[in-house]
Amino acid sequence: MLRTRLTQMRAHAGRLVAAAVAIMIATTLVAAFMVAAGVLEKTAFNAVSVSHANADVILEEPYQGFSTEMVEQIRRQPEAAGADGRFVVHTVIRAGGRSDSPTVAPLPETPELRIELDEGRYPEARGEILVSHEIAERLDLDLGSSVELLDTSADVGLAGRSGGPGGQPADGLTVTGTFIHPGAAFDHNVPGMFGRAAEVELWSGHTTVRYERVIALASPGTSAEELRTALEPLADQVGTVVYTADEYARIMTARFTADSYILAAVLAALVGVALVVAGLVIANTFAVIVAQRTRELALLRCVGATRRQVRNGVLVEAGGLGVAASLAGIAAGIGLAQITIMVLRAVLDFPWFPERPEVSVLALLIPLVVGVTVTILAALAPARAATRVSPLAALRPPEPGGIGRGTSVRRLAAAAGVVVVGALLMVAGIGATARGQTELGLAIGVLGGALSFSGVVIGSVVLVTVIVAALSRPLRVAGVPGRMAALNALRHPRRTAATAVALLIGVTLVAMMSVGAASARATFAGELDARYPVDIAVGPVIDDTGRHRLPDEVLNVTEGVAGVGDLMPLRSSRALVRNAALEGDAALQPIEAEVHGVDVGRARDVMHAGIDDLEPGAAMVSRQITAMTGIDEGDLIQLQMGSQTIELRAVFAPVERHTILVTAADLAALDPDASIGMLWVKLADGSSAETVARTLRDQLSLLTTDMGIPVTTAGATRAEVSRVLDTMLMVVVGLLAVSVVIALIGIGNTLSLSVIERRRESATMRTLGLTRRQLRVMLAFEGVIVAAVAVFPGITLGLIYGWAGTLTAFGGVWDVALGVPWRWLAGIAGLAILAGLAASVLPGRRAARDDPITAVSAG
Amino acid sequence: MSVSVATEKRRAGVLAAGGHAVTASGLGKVYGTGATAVRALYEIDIAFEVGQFSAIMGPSGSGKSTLMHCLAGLDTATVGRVWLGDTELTHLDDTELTLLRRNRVGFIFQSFNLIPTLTARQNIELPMDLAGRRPDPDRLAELTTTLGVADRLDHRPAEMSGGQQQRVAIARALMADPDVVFADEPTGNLDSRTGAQVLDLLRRSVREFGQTVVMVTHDPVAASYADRVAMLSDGRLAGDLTDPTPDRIRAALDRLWECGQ
Ligand SMILES: Nc1ncnc2c1ncn2[C@@H]1O[C@H](COP(=O)(O)OP(=O)(O)O)[C@@H](O)[C@H]1O
Ligand SMILES: [Mg+2]
Repeated sequence: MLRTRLTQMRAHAGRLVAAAVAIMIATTLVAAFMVAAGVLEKTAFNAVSVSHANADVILEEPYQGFSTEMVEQIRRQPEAAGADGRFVVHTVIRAGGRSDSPTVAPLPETPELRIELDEGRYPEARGEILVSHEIAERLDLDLGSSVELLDTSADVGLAGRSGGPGGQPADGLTVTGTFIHPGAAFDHNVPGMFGRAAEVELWSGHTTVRYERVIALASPGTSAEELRTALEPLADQVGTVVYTADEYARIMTARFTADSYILAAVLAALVGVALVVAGLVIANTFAVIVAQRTRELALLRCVGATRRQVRNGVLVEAGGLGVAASLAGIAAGIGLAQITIMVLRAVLDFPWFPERPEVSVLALLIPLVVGVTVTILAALAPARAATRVSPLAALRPPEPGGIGRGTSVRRLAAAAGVVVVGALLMVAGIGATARGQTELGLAIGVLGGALSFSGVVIGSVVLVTVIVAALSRPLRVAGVPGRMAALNALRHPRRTAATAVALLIGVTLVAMMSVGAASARATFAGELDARYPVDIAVGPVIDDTGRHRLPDEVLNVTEGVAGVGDLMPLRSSRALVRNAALEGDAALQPIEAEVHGVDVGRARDVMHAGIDDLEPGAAMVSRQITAMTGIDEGDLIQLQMGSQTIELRAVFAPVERHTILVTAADLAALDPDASIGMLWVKLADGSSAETVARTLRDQLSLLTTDMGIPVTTAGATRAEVSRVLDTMLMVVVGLLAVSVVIALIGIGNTLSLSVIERRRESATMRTLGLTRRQLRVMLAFEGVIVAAVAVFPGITLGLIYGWAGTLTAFGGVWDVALGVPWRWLAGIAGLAILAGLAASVLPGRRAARDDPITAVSAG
Repeated sequence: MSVSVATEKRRAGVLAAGGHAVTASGLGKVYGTGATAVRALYEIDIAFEVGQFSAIMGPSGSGKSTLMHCLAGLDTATVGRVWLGDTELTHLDDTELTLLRRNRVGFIFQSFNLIPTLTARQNIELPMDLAGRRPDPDRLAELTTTLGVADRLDHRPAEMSGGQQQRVAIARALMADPDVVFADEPTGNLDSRTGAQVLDLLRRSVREFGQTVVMVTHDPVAASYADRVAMLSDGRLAGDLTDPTPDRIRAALDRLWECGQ
C-alpha cells in the first residue's frame, strides 16, 4: 500500500507542488526564527564579554559606589592580579566644527582589563584619549587628531554633586587609538571614550571619586570562582554581589533577550499565522485531490482496500509531503540565516558577531516536527472524506464537478453565535481597559478577537455566497467569462471559502496593524504635543558666576539656521524651592531648580501644546519636584532667589526634572536682573528636528565661547516614536506578507486544480466559441472573486480589530484617537485583488493550452 | 424556422460556388513525429453539400474523428486544405478559428458536454452569448418545442436524462443557426430508442430547416438516417453511399473488411 501511495504521489507530484511550497515557506520561517534566536543570544553574550575585556569577576553598582580604598583593597587580595574601577563623566567635545557628547571613563591600569584596541595604542601622556569607532567616524577623527573638550559633568545619578560647572577642561585632547563599541543595546555601561585615570578624575569635578563598578583579574592559577569567593565579604560590606564574568554576561544576555521577549513573542505569533495559512492551503489541496480521485479511490475500495487503508494512504502521502517540504524549508531557513549573517558581518564589522549560525538539534527538529504535524493535521479532514467514498462510485459515470450546495442553517447559526460572543468579549475588554485594568482588558479582548474571527471563518461559506452574489451583477457586464467565473466560484463554496480564508487572515492582520498604527500615531500625536511641547531648546547656559547667561551670538546663530521656524528667548534664574506650608524644622531641605520666565502670549507660537494653565501666580513643576518637597497640585510653592522670595501655586506639567516654568512677570518679580538663559525653537514645517539640532550644535560649537551650549530636541523623540511605529509596522507587515504569499499560492493552487477538474468543460466552451483569452479572463475573474471574498471582510474586520485593539491597549492611559489609514487600506485592497489576478496567470495559461478537441474526445 | 438574412446571403453565395458547406482537398493528418508517428488520414478529398445530412462511417480507429476535427477547425491538418463555405480554414489562427466556430459551426458530442453550472436555457444560449448576439426568443421557443425540452429550460444538466441532455445539446448546436453542425457519435451514450429520437430530430432539422449536418458514427443504423454515407478505412476514403439503408451499409462495411483481410 505504501508503495502504491508513493507511486501515486510521484504521478501527481505536480498537484502537490503548491502545497509543498506553502509548507516549505512556513518551515523556512520557523527554522530561520530558531536560528536567529540563537545568533541573537550568541551576539549579546559576545558583546557583553567584549566590553569587559579579560575580567574574571565583576562587582556591580552598590548604592553609594565603591571608594578608591575599596578598589585598593580588592587589588591587594592574593587571588586578584589586578582590579580597576569604572565611572563615567559626561563630556561635550568638538573637532573640525562638529561636536558630540560622549561619556568618558578611566582607562584601567591593569593592562589585561583594558578594552581591546581596534587601531592605535593606549593613552600614555597627558590629554591622550581612546575613542569609539562611531565617535571617530562622526567627528572624522584619525589617530593623532586633536579634539577640544568643551564641558564635563559627572554622572548625576552617582555623584550627587552640588552643581556648578565640571572640572577644568584640558586645552586639547589627542586621539591615540580607537575601539569598537558593542552598542548600547547590549551594554549601556561602555563609555564612548577612555582617558587616563588621573585626568578623568579631574574632569569629574569631584575630589573623591566613587566607582560604579569594579572589574578584577584573577591571579595566575586562581579560578574566577575562587576570586569571587575571596571578594564576597568585601561585596557584602557595600551591599552588592560579585559575578564571574561568564555569569555576568549570561545575566546581561538574559536581560537583553528578555527585552526582546515581546518581540520574540510577536515574531512567534506571526510564524504561527504563516503555519495556519499553510495548513489551510494544504487542507484545501488534499480536499481537492481526494475529490478528483473519487473514482480511483472507489476502484481501490472495489478491489478490496479497507477504509483504513484508504485513509492511511492519504495520510502517508501528506506525511511524505510534509517531510520533504520541511527538510527543504529547514535548509532554506539555515541558508537564509547564514546569508543574513554574512551580510551583517560585511556591513557592520562586529567582531562579536558569530561567523556562522549555531544550528542546534532543536533548531533542526522543531521545524521538521512542526512542518510534518501541520501537514498531517491539515490532511486529516480530507483523509476522512476519502474514506467516505463508496465502492459504487467506481461504477457510476463520472460526475461533473459538484454544483454549489446551500449552506446549512446550523452552520450559519453557529457562526453568528461565535461572532456575537467574540464581539461582546471585545467590548468587555475595552470596558475593562477603560476602568484601568488594561491587562485584563487585553486578555479578554484578544480572546474575543480570536473567537469572533473563528466565527467569521466558520461562516465564510456564507460570506462567499453573499459576496459572489453581490459581485455577479457587475461581473455580468464582462459577458460570459464574468458570468461563468461567478458560477464557478460558487460551485464548491467550501473550497472557495477555504481558499479565501487563507488570504482573509493575512488581509485582516495587515489591515488591523495599519489601522492600529494609524490610531496609535493619532493618539501619540496629542500625547507627544503635551509631553514635548517644544521642538528644540538651546541652553540653559550658566556662566562662571553661576548666573544664567546665553551669549548674545547664540540668538543670531540660531535664527540663521535653516529649518528654524520661530524662536522665543526665555529669561532664567536659579532658585531654591520650598514647600510654603512647612516652616522651621519641618521644612525639607530646599531644592535648587532652574526657573524660566515664559511670555505666555508668544508661547502659543513656539509650542505644540498651549500652556493655558500658566497664568500669573502659577508655577509649572515636574512631579519629581513635588515629590521631593511634598507639594500637591494647587499647593503653594516658595521660590527664593537671594533675598527675594515669591509664592506661587503649583501646577503639574511634563517639564524637565529640575525645571520650573513661570510667567515672565513672576520671574521679573523673583529676579529683576535675570538675563536670557535659554531659547525655545519651533521648527519650520517639514524640517527634521535631528538635522536642525545637528546643524545648530555644529554652528554653536564654532562660537568663540568656552561654554558648551546644550541643544536638546524633543522633535527627535517625536520623530523617533513615529519611526518606531513605522518600523514595527514594516516588520510585522513584512512577516505577514509571507502568509499572504502562501495564501496566494493557495489561490493559484485551487485554481489550477479546478482547471484540471474542469478540463473537458473548458474545452467544450472552447469548441462553442470561447477564445483562449476569454478562458484566461474567466480564470482571472475567479482569482479576483476569491481575493474579493478575502479583501472586503478582511478590511472591515481589520478596521474593527485595529480600533478595538487601540482602545483596549491605550484606552486606560490616554485619550485614544482612532485613525483610518485610507491609503494603506486602499493599497491593501488593490494589492490583494491584483494578487488574485496574478494567481490566475499560471492556471489560466495551463487551461488555455488545452486543445478544444479534449472535449470531443470521448470520456 | 427562421433564418437570418445574412446567413441566407452567405448560403446563397456558397450554393452559387458549388453548393458545398464543407470541402476538404488533399487533407492528411499525421500524429506525432519519427518512429511514433501515426498516419491517421491519407490525402482525402471530400465535400459536404449544403442542406444535406451526411454521415462519416468506418471501423474504430479508421480516422473518422480526426477527419471531423480537421473539418470543424478543431485541429489543424498536416497537409491539404479545408474550406467552410468559401472560408479557407487552413491559415486561420486560434482566435479566428474560435470566432468562426462561435458564429458558423455547431457541435453535438457523444457525452452531451453541457456546462453543469448552467441551466438548459443558459446552455442553449451560450454560443450566442459568447458571440455577443442576442438570442431570439421565438427561435428558442420553436427549437425547444420541436426538440421536446421546452419544459426543461430551467433545469440543470444533472436534473435531466441522457436523452433530454442530448436534445438540449442539439438545441444549443442549432440555436445560432450555424452553417454546419458536426456531431461525433451523438447516440453513443444513449439507448437505442432515445438514440433513434435524437437521429430523427437531426434529420428533421435538415429536412425542415435546411440545416447541414455532418455526423460521425460507427453504427450502421444511425448512419442510415443520413442522406449520404462516406466510408473511411485506415485513413482513406473507401466508399460513398447515397440514400443508404442499414443493410446496404452493412454490406458495404463487410466489403471493407474483406478488402482489409
Ligand atoms: N491525439 C492523437 N495522437 C496520436 N494518435 C492519434 C491521436 N488521435 C487519434 N490517433 C490515431 O489516429 C487514428 C485515427 O483515430 P480516430 O480519428 O480517433 O479514429 P476513429 O474516430 O475512427 O475511431 C488511430 O490510429 C488513433 O490511434
Ligand atoms: Mg472516434
